[in-house]
Amino acid sequence: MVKTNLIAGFNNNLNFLAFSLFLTTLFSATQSAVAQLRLGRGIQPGLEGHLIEYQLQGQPLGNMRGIQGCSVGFGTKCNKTAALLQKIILENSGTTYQDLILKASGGLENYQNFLKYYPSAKDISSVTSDSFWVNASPYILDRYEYSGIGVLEPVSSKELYEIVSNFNSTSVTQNKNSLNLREGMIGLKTAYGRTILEEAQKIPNIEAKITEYGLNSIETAFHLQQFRYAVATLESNNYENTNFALYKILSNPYTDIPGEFNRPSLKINPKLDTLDGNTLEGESYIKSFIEGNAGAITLFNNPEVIVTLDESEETALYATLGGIGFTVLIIALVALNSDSQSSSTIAQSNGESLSLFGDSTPLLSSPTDDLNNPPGIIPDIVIGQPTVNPNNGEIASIPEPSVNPYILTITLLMLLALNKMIKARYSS
Amino acid sequence: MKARLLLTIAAFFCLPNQYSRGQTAVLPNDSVIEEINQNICSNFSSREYVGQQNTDAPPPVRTLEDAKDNVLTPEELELYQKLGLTNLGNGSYGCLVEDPDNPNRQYTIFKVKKLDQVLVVSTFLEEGKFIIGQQNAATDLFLEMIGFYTEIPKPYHSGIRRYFQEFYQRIVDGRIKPSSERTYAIDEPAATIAVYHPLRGDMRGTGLSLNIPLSTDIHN
Repeated sequence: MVKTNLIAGFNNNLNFLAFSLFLTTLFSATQSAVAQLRLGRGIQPGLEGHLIEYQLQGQPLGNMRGIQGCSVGFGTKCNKTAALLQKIILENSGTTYQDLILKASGGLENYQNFLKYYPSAKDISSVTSDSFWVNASPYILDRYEYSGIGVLEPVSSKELYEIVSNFNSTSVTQNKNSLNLREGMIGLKTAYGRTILEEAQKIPNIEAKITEYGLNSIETAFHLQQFRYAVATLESNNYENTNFALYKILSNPYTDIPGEFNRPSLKINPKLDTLDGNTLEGESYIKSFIEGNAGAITLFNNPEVIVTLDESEETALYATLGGIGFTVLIIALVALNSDSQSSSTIAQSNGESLSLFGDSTPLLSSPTDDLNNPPGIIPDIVIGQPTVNPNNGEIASIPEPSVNPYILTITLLMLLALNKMIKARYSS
Repeated sequence: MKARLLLTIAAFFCLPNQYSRGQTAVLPNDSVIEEINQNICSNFSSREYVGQQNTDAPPPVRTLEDAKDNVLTPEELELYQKLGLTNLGNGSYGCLVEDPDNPNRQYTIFKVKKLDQVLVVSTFLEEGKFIIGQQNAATDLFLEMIGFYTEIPKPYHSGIRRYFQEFYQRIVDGRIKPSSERTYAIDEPAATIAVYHPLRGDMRGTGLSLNIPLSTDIHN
């Protein structure tokens, strides 16, 4: 019955479109919700680097607190109002995160000058939503200390102050003539927050857009409330209130489980810190002439040869066989009076040489009689099973590169010698 | 005419050179590419060798116990063959890579072994350095094994992939130091952990070993 209804619905193109849109939304929402690490209540997607930093700095996993859920945003941006605004801005005016950052930091050149102060920050895109609260707990996962930016030395710089002064009206430069690295980052963060609010306000019916975004009603109300408060403080020109509101939209995530700073305990089993690990050792090998042993014995009928051969000789064996194949081929060619052959025939005979080569290979692996095959050698040396070569294609059957010079030389010599011999014979 | 014949022959034999380099192989079609990608080992060695160990120690002796551990189910066998893992003796499976500085030498790049109800999947970094393609191949191998041996749902694999990317980056930066004592948890219900550790055998360098408990109970 349900199926029939669906099919009937699909007859209407509009319905179909709406349905697929619904499916896409559902799918992406589900994806972002589960694409995380299953530690405790879950590490949100994009916070894997923060997790490693947290572990590297020796913080206990059992104490970890973090963002609960990720219905909007990625990584440190998960569930934060700024992430929602950024998405709506992108959808409505096409302005990207990078555009917003450049706008906030007073243009590309100023931004590049700013970045020079943070050489260890490979990607500062998370920093605008990282938590910078001074007295916040070290167990909060989305702290800037775990962003990989490194330790921000409290050394003040006048030049950094001048760069940050060019940012979109930030209060961090108030009553100062130099800034340290942490203050510089706060400068970028607050300038970005102000920019995103200004851009959001340019969108007609922004509040309706927030409501229609598709989050659940409690979550929507949370973001709307933070947005309205921030807009109101911007108009009040009270820097302290504005900063507080900016921090809220940038770093205060929505959570359906209560917790200090909206970051509940992630309830990771403390035993995960103390698990013992097993390790394996690697080995190094010197290549030896083991593969194709049987063939070598058959061919040379002299076990001592094997002892003295090293890796390159293994290929020489193939080379010899190749040489034999080629001798046959060349004889055939010369017999046909190669001087008058067209190049297409040559190409064809190359094909023949391949099949000749192939036909001669079974000689190598064919079982040999016991007299010629000294017992005991192979089981002693072979330490693994015969390898299953998965490359059924051309790559596996191609000879080693070192074969080429041998074959080439032999071919050259044979060709010249045979041609001369035969010519001499016919002319006499 | 002779020169043309020789040139053709020369060209014919130069052709395989491209392929035998492994990583730069120009592959004929998509189906082959897919096959190669699944076969993690083949990205590193165009043919697998059975070599002689580079120590004075006697060749490894297979004990009865090893033989018991060694028995793979048909499903495991199929997976290992697909990935190109071959029997390295002593119950371990893996693949070797050629030493870029010494073509006569090879070392283990990947190894898989069951130890006391834990499957250990390792990748080895000679002198502590990754070779080209090793990071992605290692993640692929880890995820293949996680997919086979754990119940971790597929959508979570992308988080694990990102975790390893971040992990490799910090190994390269020297921020994660090798230590056999330090473990990094990746998944709680499956109790999967990673260890970045020094090597103490005849191969010098480090290893990154993923531990997948075959009976998942960390709470005892």
